[in-house]
Amino acid sequence: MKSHYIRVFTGSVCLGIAVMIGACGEKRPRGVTGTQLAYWRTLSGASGEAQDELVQRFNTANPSTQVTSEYQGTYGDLATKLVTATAARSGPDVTQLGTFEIRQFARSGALVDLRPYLEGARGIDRSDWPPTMARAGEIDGGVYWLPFNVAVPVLYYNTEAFARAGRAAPPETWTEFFSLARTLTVRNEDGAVQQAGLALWSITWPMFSMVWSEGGELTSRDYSNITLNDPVVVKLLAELQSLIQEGSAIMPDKASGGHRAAFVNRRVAMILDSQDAFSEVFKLAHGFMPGVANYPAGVKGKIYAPGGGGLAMLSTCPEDRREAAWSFMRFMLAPEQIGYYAKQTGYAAYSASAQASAGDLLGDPRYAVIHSTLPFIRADFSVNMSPAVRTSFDEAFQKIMVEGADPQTALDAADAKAEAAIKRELS
Amino acid sequence: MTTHAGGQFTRRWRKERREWMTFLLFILPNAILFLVFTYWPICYSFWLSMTDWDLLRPAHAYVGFANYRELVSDPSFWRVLRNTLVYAGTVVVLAQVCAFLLAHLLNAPVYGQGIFRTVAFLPHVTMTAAAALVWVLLLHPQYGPLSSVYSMLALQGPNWLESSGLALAALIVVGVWKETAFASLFFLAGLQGMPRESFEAAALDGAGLLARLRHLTLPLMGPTIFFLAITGVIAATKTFDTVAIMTEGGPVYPASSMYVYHLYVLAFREYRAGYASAFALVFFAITIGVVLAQFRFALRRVHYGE
Repeated sequence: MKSHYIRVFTGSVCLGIAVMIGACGEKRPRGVTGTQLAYWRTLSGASGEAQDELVQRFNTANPSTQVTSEYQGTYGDLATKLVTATAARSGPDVTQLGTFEIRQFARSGALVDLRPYLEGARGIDRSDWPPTMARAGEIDGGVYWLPFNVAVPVLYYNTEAFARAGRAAPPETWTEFFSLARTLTVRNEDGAVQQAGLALWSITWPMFSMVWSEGGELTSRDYSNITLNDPVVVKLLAELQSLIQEGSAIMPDKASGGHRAAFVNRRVAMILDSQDAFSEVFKLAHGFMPGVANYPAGVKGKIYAPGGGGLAMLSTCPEDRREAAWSFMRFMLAPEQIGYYAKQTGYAAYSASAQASAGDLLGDPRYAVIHSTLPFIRADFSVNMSPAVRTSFDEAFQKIMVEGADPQTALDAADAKAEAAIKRELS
Repeated sequence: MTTHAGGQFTRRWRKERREWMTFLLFILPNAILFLVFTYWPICYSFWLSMTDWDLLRPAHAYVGFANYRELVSDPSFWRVLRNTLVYAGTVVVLAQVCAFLLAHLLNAPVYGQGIFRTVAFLPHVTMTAAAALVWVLLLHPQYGPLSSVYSMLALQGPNWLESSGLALAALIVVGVWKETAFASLFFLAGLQGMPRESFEAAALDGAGLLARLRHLTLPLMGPTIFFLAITGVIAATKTFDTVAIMTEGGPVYPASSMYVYHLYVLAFREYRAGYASAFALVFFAITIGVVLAQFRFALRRVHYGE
């Protein structure tokens, strides 16, 4: 009897161990040889399909290295999955990454320093990259991120609503912009708003350009002086709050489509966005022709905030695969691929060689408008790269616009919160 | 004699030992799973709560009880705790009331009873994420069916998900909708298991509907109500998917955020796994406290058996 129980127990334990070993094994399709790389990406629609096409082209051109492209959701979803994958020491080899996460990931050792590859025999010629892009991923002397899908600020407007309001051209200055938001608001006989002038994005990225061009600052680059309550910031947010309170602007919730859905469905006449929305806006605009324009200029002229995503190599990529991973990154960042991606999605072909390889890209006036912002991009990712600053600013912005909080009070609180949080972030 | 008694003792001891070995062998797999996947994570979480780990660095820096001290003075903690307790309390109470009434309707002998019961239980078997997406569409201020109803009534409908005041209410509505389906099943089973004779006797004695409800139905349903209260509170406090899909804790964070969602934000968006662990352990203690309080309350008020 005792030996029976011992046999049963031993058999159960062995079975359990076998199941666990089997579950932990790495699956490799039969017949596949060579280096296998995993690439995690974000962005859906045309922006995602274009990436998959580029991956396919790489695989065709490099039979000894095969890349699997895996969509992981939004930038935030992708970052969450990268965090858990890094903690588990298993993850992709190359990943797309937004600017929000670069510094945190780089300083934690989750990203590989690409400088040796960049400056090595098989480096990338960055001589025609704008300085902003060339220095974007530099942190503590290393290069951890290289720009791929560069976002620039774009104002989308309803050309027909503008025509009805007697406007042929989009606003040139922020003062004109605020006035136009009121002019474009259409109300019915009862005074209810049928179409508002403007829909606001729930994040503050468009505000960076507005603040900088009007002479304000949000933070110094080393975060030693955070100024979310800069008088210019307070004035601009108070102006936006007035628009909302008058009904000339709305801030739709994300779940029901946000500001982009409001624009394509003609609830509003214009939105401050990036060219990430380019494909969506032109494909889904319902019953009207959208137009694209630069963000207005401020007292300091045109100053635009950079954004978008780039490529990074994770430290979980084994050493013996890093050369192959670098080959893939080099391919994706080559002018031909950047030019192709720009043509398919509206993202910026940020180097002259990429623009040249895209052929008649700038012949399309919409793309010409998008690329005309490049000279005015400020080489400053500091707000993007700090969750402490960005999150505090976003929360204050939402409090002011949604809850009607006093802008000075809300921004003072946000400034204090960011200053407390930045100490932890930089430690 | 002594040898015989000693022999008997030895045989009894061996028999008990065999029984203990059999017992241990049978519970060992489950015990191992419990130790590995429940007990160990709790202990490790306690250790993590004493560090400032960010999920990315391999090393954890020990900070003692700093995370707990910060938690006490963190306004977000009190806000999400308040949201969670309001949500749990409201959902459990409203859902049980609605489920109780629904169970009575479902218990009525009508044609198509099976179909009505199936439809009534559908919210429970629907995936929460899918249901949340549908509710977002239902509550859309312009294109949702509810907005059409408001228009027909010539009313300016509320903007549920764009209002800090109403976002939590929207989540409560979805929670009640889901929990009602689950609870109605148990109430229906309870109603069908009730002794008819007691009700007939009460009716003969002149007890009206309310008197029968108060003195017969509710006491007999006591165990069911208690069970649903416990499971309802535990399920409600773990709500994550409806928050993540419908509001992401907004429209102005943390207006409609709840404890578990805030945990996720702390750990995976703010990279503060250590602080999030402290959050989790405090919540664990609060939940246990709430459940123990419920047990204590029920001790004298819930009667099992006739």
